[in-house]
Amino acid sequence: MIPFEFLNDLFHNIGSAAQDAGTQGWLPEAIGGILGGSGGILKNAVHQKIEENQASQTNEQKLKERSQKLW
Amino acid sequence: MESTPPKTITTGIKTQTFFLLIGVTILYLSFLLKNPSYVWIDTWFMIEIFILTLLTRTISIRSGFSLFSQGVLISAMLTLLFYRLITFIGLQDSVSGEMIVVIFEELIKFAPVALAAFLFYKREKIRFNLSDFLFLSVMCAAGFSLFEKTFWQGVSFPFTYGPHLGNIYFFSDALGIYVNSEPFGYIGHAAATGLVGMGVGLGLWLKAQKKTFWWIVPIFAFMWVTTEHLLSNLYYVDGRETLLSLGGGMLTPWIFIFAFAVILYIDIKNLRTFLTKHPEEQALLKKDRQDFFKTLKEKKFDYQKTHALIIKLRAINSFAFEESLKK
Repeated sequence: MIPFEFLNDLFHNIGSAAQDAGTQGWLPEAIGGILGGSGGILKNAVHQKIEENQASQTNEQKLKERSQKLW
Repeated sequence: MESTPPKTITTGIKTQTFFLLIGVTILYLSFLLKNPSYVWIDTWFMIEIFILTLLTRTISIRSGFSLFSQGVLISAMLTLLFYRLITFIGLQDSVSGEMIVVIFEELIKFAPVALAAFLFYKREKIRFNLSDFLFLSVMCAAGFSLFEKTFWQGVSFPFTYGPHLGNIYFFSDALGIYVNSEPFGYIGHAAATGLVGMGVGLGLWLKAQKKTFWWIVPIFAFMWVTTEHLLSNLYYVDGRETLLSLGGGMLTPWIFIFAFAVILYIDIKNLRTFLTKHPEEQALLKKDRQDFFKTLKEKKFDYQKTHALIIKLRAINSFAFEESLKK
């Protein structure tokens, strides 16, 4: 199980510590950026897979339709 | 919610196939009862062509059985009526009468195939490929040939000719005699019409590709087999030996083999080109092929998987042929 509360506290603490140290929040931004980026990559991969499956289904459907028409 | 029409269509096709098979069985039984010694030779040729075009055809074996029946019920029956008419007007056993009958026979043996190709294109806008033309022509003319052989009484031939492996001849109906010690024969109805079918298929393929001299191929195929058939028959009418000057008919099996190699090459090339251009279809076919061989390795025969592979291959062959016409 993912410890969301622990992670939330951890990020908050890192963010607060970074702010106190005068980093203007570059660390949380970097972490957020990395997470966001990987999320984007994952999203793209999922979309690509869905599109591939749809294309494959269309081709399979096309072949099925043709075979039903053939004598 | 799933729709029901496919189930209805499947049931309809199965019923049609069932009645077709009953019809073919009755025809076969009557051939076996009437003249059993000649039934195998046409059957063997049909089996050979069925197997050799299995991977390149777009049409089913059911269509082959349908054409076989038409070969008996349309081609052979009409020839019988036509022959009665020729006899009625007193032209039987004459050169002109023989000429008319032979031309009629060679045309009527191919007519059901031409009609099927025309009606199928009109209805579905799908063309038969080259292997289809060959398979249907052979099936139709084999029906004709088996019917004709039921009338053969006391006929015997000293040899079979053409390419062979030991005693197994590729052209099992190429039966010959010796005339002046020279071999003399006709390749047989099924192979003759098969050659016409290949000629017409090739001609139409060239025509679709806008080739100017497309018509030469079907005309040559038809003229060649008709001339050979006529000259072979005329020997029995008035003893003329003109066919000997054309090789006594011994060249025709090799012309058939050459044409067959050409059409198989074209159909296989079209299939390979299509699969290279369409990796998705290639992957789908590969998956079915792997499933099929997996069950074979397990020493099982899975009808569903075999059927799925053949159906997919037929559909891909059809698209491949269609695409080859767009060049």
